[in-house]
Amino acid sequence: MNFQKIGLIIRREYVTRVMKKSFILLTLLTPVLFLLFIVIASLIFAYEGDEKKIIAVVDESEMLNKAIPDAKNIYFKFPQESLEQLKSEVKEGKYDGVLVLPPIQVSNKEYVPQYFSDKRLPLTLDETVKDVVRSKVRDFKLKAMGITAEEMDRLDTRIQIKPQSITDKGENTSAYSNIIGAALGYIMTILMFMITIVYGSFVMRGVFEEKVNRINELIISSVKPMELMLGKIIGIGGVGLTQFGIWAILMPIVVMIGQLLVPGAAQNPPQMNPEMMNQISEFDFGMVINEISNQNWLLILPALIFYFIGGYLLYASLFAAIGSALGDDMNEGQSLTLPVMLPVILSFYIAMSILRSPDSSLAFWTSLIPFFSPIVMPARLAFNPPVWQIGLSLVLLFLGVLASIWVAARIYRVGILMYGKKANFKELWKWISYRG
Amino acid sequence: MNILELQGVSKSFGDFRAVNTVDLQIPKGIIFGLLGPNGAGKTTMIRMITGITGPDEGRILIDGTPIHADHIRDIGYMPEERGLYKKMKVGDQLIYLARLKGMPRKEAKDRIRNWMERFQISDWWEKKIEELSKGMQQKVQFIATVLHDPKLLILDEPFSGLDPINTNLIKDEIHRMNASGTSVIFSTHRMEQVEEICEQITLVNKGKLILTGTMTGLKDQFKKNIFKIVFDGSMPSVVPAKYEILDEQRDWVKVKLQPEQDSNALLAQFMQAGCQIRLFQEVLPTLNEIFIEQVGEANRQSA
Repeated sequence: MNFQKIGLIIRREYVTRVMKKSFILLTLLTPVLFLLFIVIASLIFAYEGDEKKIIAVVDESEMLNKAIPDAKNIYFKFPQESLEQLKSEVKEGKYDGVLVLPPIQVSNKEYVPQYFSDKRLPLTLDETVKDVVRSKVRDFKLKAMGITAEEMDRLDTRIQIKPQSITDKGENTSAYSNIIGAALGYIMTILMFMITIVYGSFVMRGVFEEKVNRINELIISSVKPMELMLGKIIGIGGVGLTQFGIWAILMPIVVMIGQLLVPGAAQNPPQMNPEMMNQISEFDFGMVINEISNQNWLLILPALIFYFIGGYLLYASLFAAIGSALGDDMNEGQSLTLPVMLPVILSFYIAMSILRSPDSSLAFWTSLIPFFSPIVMPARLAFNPPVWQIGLSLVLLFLGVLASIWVAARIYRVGILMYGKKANFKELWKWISYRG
Repeated sequence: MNILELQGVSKSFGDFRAVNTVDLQIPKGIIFGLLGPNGAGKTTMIRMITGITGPDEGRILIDGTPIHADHIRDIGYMPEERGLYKKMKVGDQLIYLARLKGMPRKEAKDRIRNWMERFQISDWWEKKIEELSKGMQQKVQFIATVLHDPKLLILDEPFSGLDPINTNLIKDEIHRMNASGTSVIFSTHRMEQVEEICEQITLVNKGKLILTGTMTGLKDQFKKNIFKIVFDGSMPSVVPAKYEILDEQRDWVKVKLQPEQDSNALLAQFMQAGCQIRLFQEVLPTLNEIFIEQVGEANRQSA
């Protein structure tokens, strides 16, 4: 291996791509589009609708005391008229509808108020009305059963299971471990998935273009096919790192700008039902920060980097082999790319399911197999998997990378000099077995 | 001293034996023709010489030493399937290719400028390849091949797709480089191109060399004692009686001599009959004829 020549190839692959207008545009525009998306999405979320509803209430149950607080965009009136009169007033447009609350008993498991109108209530308003009625019914029942609100509050008990590890590892796990772990695992998995698919395809396209341009033979008379392949893979990997690096810097800025433009909208979308609000208010931000900083980053970060590199090399080399086996028409290549895409997509789904059970046997086995481990293991990292598993998985991944580069290089060296038709798997197998 | 030597070189792809125990010596400083039909094994031989693939058996010596990585600088190779990075600028591209050959950046730059001046394309440095016409691209391709001043220039079908102007330009350059000591291997299936350029040739068929020699030597070896006489007057009657006439027109005749017959005696017949001789010439076989005859024979033998 001539590292100086690999260096030249890496440089060319990197520079020509990074200097391309399309690269610069895509890299800079993505955060801008993201910003636009945040702003528009928050505006849509923040849009509360301008439909104001005035609803006449006929309270046959007499539990309301003629008092329902006006909810958002809904105004409740308690006119004296009969139902028939009110109905005609709805037609005249004085009210939007009439809500009839039938009599109620404590034993009622179901309560069916009627809403008279020719126009149905919009979904969100429907929810609001239900919520109002539900809490009134609750109050009514409590009162009828002789339970005070205080007693009721005492019935509610907040439960939190605090995980305590038995072995003395001094792990400071808290109740949020699982949620934070899942979130981190989710982000890592998505990143890995994108990197393998997107930059793997870049490698494939690059190899294919060299082949179509008929430049391979000229290059190969100066450098070994292995050197060309590795240079290409590493160069494009560098392009990927650059792109993600820029995004890693720009995205937080964009999110900050987004919050300035639409204050509060981004992290606090309205229309959430009260239970969710409740959960979120229990969500202690300090604990989250604490939990994130309590992660064993000294282990996770290097492991992540190795999985990034390993996963990228493994799949990019296979994509390079596929690119070299393509014919002059790239669209014919579907049958060749599928076997490489399949494990990537599969491991993505495995990773998603593992977030719920990070220590299952599926998680264990798939995080050892090199095809899956680069995507599956990052999903588990935040759940503190045993160190020996990470070690074994990385060793196996390393061997897997060597094997896939070896196989890919053997296909590549033959493939890049074959012109015309795309190869099938039988031919690929023959190429692997050709000597020097 | 030989610039290139193949010793018992073989190469197979699966069951297909592309090159079969080939022995070949190419002396330094000549223009050598590697001839054969498509699929004869020429490109595979060249790929082994350029180190793109390795032989299964045998040895390849370049300038007396077995091929290794350092020979990359000694060889300039123009493949039959050629191309350049379409989106790259001419100057950048040539520098890149030269540096892959191991040339320092500064030296590469100077040489590229020289070559571009020679081809009168100095103002193309900043142009992308895809902006150039086909003929212009071929000039750049040629520069890429010879930029590092190789000892051995290998050209695989160099004139395919070239317009007549570029063909002559490149022929001139080949001769010029050859005159200054570069050995040239010229691979083609177009025989007529070889006759005027090559000093020595070898014929390849089905992975084997079936004939090797100098141009004049081969023509001599395969000549059939055929003479053409162009004359004024009427043909002496003894000629058809004593000699085998292959072809004749009003003012010329082609005669095949038997081994015991003498060309001077034939000429004398015409002179004695009072014919005015305009031309008397031995008809030598063209490479194409030799090739077809030999390949046909080889195929018959193997059949």
